[in-house]
Amino acid sequence: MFRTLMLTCAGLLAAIVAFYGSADPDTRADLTLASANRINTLDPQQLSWIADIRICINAWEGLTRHDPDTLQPIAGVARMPPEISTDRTRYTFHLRPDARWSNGDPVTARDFVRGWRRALEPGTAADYAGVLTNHIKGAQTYYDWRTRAVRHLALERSPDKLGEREALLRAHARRMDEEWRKVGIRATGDHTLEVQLVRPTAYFLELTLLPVLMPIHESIERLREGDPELGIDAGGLVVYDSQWTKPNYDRNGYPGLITNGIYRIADWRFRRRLRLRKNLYHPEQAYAALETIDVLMFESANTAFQAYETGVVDWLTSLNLDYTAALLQMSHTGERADVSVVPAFGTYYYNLNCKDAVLPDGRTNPFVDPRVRKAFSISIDRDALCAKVAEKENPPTRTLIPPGSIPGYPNVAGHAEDAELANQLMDEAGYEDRETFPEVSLLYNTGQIHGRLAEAVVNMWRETLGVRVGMAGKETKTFGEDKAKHNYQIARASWYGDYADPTTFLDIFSTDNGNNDSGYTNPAYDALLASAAACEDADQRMHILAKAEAILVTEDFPLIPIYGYTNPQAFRPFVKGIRPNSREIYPLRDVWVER
Amino acid sequence: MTRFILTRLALGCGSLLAIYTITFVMIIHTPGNPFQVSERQMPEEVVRALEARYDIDNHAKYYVQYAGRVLTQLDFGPSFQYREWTVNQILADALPVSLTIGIVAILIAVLVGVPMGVLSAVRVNTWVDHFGLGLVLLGISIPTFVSGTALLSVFGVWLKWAPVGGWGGVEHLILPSVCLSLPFLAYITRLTRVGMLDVLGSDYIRTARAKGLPPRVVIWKHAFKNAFLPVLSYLGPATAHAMTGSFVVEMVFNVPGMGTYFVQSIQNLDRGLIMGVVLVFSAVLILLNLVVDVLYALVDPRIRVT
Repeated sequence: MFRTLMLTCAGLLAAIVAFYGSADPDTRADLTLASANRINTLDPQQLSWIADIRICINAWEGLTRHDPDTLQPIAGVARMPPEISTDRTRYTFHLRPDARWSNGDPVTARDFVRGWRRALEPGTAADYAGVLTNHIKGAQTYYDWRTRAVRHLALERSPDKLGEREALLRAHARRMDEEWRKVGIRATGDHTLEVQLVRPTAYFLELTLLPVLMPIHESIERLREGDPELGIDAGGLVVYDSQWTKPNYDRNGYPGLITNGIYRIADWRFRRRLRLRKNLYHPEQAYAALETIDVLMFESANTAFQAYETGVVDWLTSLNLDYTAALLQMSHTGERADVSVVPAFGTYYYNLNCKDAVLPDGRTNPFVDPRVRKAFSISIDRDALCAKVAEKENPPTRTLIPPGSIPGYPNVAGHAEDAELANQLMDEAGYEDRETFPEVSLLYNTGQIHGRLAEAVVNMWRETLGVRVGMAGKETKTFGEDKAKHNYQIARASWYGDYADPTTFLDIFSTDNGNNDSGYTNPAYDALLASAAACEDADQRMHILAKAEAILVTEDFPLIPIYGYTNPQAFRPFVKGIRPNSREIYPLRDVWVER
Repeated sequence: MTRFILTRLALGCGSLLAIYTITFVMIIHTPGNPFQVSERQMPEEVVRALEARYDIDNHAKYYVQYAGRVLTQLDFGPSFQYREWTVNQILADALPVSLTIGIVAILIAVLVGVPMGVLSAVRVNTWVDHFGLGLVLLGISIPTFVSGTALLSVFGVWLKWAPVGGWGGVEHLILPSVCLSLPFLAYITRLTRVGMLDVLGSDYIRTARAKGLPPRVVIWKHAFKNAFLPVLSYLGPATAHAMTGSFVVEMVFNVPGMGTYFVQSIQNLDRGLIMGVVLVFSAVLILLNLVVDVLYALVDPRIRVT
């Protein structure tokens, strides 16, 4: 019995070992980098996470691409500069005739139109649809028209006895192309793209760097779902088989993902590895030094770091470790020259609910009073917070926009901390007796540093203002739900800028913005943004925007700025050409290896 | 026997249906928007349209249709969080990994734990026994994230005997399996020891010794057979547990297994994936319990399954 058991077990073990054998000697890529997170999606019109963007900007190429040093837009598929009309609202882009997709097809203006139209379709649910609707003429109208139709079609679920729904669907589908022609995006030739803007937009070329404005190869049409004749599904949505971004996806004659960047996606294994290989059809392919690049995905930042230490990984694009602070310390003393940190283009802050005095769940919200908001903001000792709690040498900040991050934008001072004034403001707001201050709590999503930071801040409020603030840690989805419903008093928030212009931050506090989580509304603020949009002088425009930011962080306080994000990373000395930057944008064509 | 197996399988299907229903009820009562994958807000209409597209706004319809798809085509549907992947693809990728590590871990646990338990019992209260008990205590009380990190640091980073993270060959299998096996090993050792001590004091063992059988035969043949029964019944759930993956072990060793999804699919409200992992885990558990019961009957003729 015992012998049988042992022999069986040993036999099974030997069989498994024999079956697995040694790992295939899969040739190592020229460069291996580690992504702290898994890739969420490679769909350029849908992605929004930095890990995804990092792949996208190398596998696709937009009208422009990033200058490796300044990150300013330079000639991509389009020649620079574009033709700009005298009223500066019409851009005519001339595309390089030798631009090629990874299967050798020429990149045409129609490919851009396809991608941009896709971004506007409600079925794509693009996070960045606003890039088009806010700036391109007719885009908002088309988007609204489509969304309205979808609301009718998708939500009208009663049985279609009289065929009314079917008729509605057909009529709508027939009008789609006609309505689309009213949008200011037009391919006027194979290699000419004409874009009509709503108003002169100083940073429009910056926007063409964004993944959402990447071109899409026509082969995607083979994977369009719904009625093949109408091009939409029963709910009126334009949807594609979401597996279209896989390099080896084979359905309905789909050739697998085709991209037009200097790299193409050669292999993508979920949670394991993504391999980039040089796109040999790209006109500048000779410029890129690396033939293959592997992106390994790690669930645990600690394991990723150990993989880096043992040489499995050459480049860690982020350091999210318990001991990041220690590593950074060592980098300053020269002990770890491979570790570096730069300020990021993102701010950590708290939103204060400015919307209603009573929350949806019946709690009282004292933060509709700007005096209370101000008192809460200026009673936090940010220096102490950053020195004691923040882990990555985060700079304390009293503004929304990271200081010095945008060329030409004047520094806004923010409001200095002032305990005396804070207490005075609380008295003025009618809370001389702090016991009468309603019960409030700080909502945050659990994980990372949020809980520890909240604890420290809550303590500061108790000590300085004599106000007890509760802590409400919730997991991400519930947190998001409360935030969306404005069912909170104070909520953790953060924002990363998408393009090098102050509006990428300031827009989120304008009245109609979908990301205005604080529910803040101030006509004077909106007016300033509008007048900046209309302003033709670049310098003056920046000053108007600075005035707007000053309203947020010195008067109205819909937010409490806490600290600036930073980007710590590590790479081996033989990896050359990486320029650490605030946006975490690394064009891989400029990276090489000297082993 | 056949009838027993068939009855148990039928009961198992009933259990799966109950598990499906309970999970479904819990999912629909969890707040949050499953389509929200970033911090940016989605327009209300778009959320509604997507909900309509996947029928998640119509609970009864979803409940019936989803069950139908799983039953007829074994199709768990799309993942809401990872749009490019279906739940079937994710599970097909992760399940073999978890199964392998789990089986290897259990095999190690049995190969080491059972002899160690027997030895401890035979040499009870000697240094062998104390040493064994010490190991058991460590195995049970050290959480896997500690033992995993220690194994990784010593054998991966320091000695460089095994690679850090990854999946593909035997070398990737060793550390995570050993780490995963430790608590099971400890438990099996203890069960074997207690079982052996119990049996060694019984009358039939005294008889066996009295009629002059060599100690080897008494211990390994007569005593072990009975002492192993509690271990066998533990092996069923233990194997199911080990095979469906461990969140911690997978994270520490960067193994692309199933354990991660138990936690993440729920956080993401990724319906299909939640259903996939819950149903697969339950099915494995039910099947293994059945296998153990059948083995039980084979090993112990006193037990008769009908």
